[in-house]
Amino acid sequence: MRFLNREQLIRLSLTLGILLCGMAMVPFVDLEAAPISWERLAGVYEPELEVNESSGTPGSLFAFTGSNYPPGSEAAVYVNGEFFGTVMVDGSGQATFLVNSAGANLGQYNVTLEVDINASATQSIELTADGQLVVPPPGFNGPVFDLGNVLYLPIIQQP
Amino acid sequence: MSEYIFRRSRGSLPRAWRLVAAFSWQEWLPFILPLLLYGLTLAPTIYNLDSAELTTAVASNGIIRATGYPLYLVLGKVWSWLPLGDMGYRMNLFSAVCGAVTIWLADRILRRWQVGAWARWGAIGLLATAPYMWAMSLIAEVYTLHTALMAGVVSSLLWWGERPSPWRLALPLFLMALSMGNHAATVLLIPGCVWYVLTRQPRLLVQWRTWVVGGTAVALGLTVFLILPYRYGQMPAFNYAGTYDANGQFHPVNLQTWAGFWWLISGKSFSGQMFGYTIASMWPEVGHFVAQLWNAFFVIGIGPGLLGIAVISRRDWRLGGMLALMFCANAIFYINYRVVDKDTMFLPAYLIWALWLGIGYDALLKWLWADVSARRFVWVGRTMIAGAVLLALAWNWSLVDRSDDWGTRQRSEDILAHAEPNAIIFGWWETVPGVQYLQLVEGQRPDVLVINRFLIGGNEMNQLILRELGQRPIYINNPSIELLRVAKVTPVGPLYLLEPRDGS
Repeated sequence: MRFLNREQLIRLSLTLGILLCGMAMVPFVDLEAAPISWERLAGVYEPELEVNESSGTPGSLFAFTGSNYPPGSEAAVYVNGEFFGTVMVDGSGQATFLVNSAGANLGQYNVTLEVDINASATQSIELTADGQLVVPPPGFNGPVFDLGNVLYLPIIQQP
Repeated sequence: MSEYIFRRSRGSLPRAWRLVAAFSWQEWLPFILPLLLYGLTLAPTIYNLDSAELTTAVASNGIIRATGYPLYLVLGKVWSWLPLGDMGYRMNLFSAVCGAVTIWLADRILRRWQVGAWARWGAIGLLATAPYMWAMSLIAEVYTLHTALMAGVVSSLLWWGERPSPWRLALPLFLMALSMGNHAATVLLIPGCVWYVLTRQPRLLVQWRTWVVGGTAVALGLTVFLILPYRYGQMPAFNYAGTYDANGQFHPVNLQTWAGFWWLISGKSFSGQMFGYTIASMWPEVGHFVAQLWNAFFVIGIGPGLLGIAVISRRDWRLGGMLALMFCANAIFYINYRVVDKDTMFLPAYLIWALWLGIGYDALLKWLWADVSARRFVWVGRTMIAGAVLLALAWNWSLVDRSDDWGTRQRSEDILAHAEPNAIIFGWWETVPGVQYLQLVEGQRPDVLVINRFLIGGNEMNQLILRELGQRPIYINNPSIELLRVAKVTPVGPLYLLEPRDGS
């Protein structure tokens, strides 16, 4: 520090302070890391339904998250075309619910979350004998729908 | 004929050269370098969503959804005559040129304020490499044309401010009116412009000449909107201002009536998304915007940007007020705009921030330089400023690079390859405009009817599908529960084929 006098020190540290003050936000913000592609923006026109795991063993509890639905609307949950109940879409267009597969038969189930014909998305889950027991992520909330009393009736046929 | 062309080109060459020679090569660099960067990472062909819609409308003399974007349609049409690549590539290149013009004009503005070279390059470098500024310069979109016109408005207002006169005011007014024809968000610049004019030279407003010249300039700029009723009269094959009925018939909105015309240009159909948050739910959106700004200016640009606000406000409160009003109007409107892709819409706010950043950088460097004993630290500042640009360039390159993205073309070709003759295809923007581009621009598969679900009500689409089921092949991007119940649904390529159930 003997190379720096007081004036120099003040100027240097203030300059560095101003240039680097954005660093104070580092704990709260991440740098953009995902590619900016059209897939990322497609949701503006179309709702999406995501599930934490696409397959598991009977007894698994699958966590579904619908996004880009009309905010504040009531969305119906269907499994293989059968009405199971409703969930509320929050102000940001998201709705969450759980599907409990305890007592359900092995096979594929098509879970649909729909507000109306133009706000509908389907996601498939498969129950397999040798699958893992799926549990929802910590803190995941939402109404639970039991698969146990659904007949396995494939609707979407693979070619 | 060849002699005539030769004479003409010989006559016009010096004029064109004079325009180029009016600026030194250093002054052209802020245009050339971003253009080179955008050119290297440009999408090579048609891109998806709005990009495909804009490109197809330009190429086929069509009509775009609200707010109509007439200036984009006109300028895009002229640009599309360039014999370069396919139509998709050409329109992507148009965005790159507009992006480079934005950066060049930002440099011109900072030069006018006597901002030093390091500060200027540091600020415009971060603007040019900001993720969304860069990304929107690589695909056909209206945003970089909007920022270029906005930079033109600011620049011409400064020019007027140097020697206020009614004639000089005509240029920013003309550009504002013209810009309205590209993006309705130009209205967000009005408070800042009005503030600047009123505080700089209020007496100008009592002169009749100001109103006559200004009114003429505005009227001239707004004439670009006449393209909309004209195009409507041509009944274009590509029209996103209208709806399909349950028989699959398209009913265009009559743009030759005031009601229809106003419906389109006012963006009434998007009014539900405007100011779509409650006070409580707005705060996360404010945080999101701050995070976007932080990302855009790569951490380093935040502090000096804030310093720049303070410096310009002290130096010239009229100018400071104009920039603040432009920034706040854009930021507040889009923070409260409830759409998923609003991150692409903050570019005008970034442009203002880049100007503040240039001033802030300049103030810092000059402050270091002012003390003779501290001059050696100017290099610390310069290194950090240049380093931030290089880091942003390296970090963001892979996030935005679209130079190898043929996905939309391949997906659209895949859809048409799977479609049986005389099929109907239903989908949203990720499906439909790309396919329509292949049909209307490249002449592929005219037998297929492609309907964007945005243009048909849910019930009408259901009725149409149920009536045509079994009569002609029907494909849809995401079948609803009602369709899942009545139809056999088979995944075919990116879509689902709907067929009557066995026995039904």
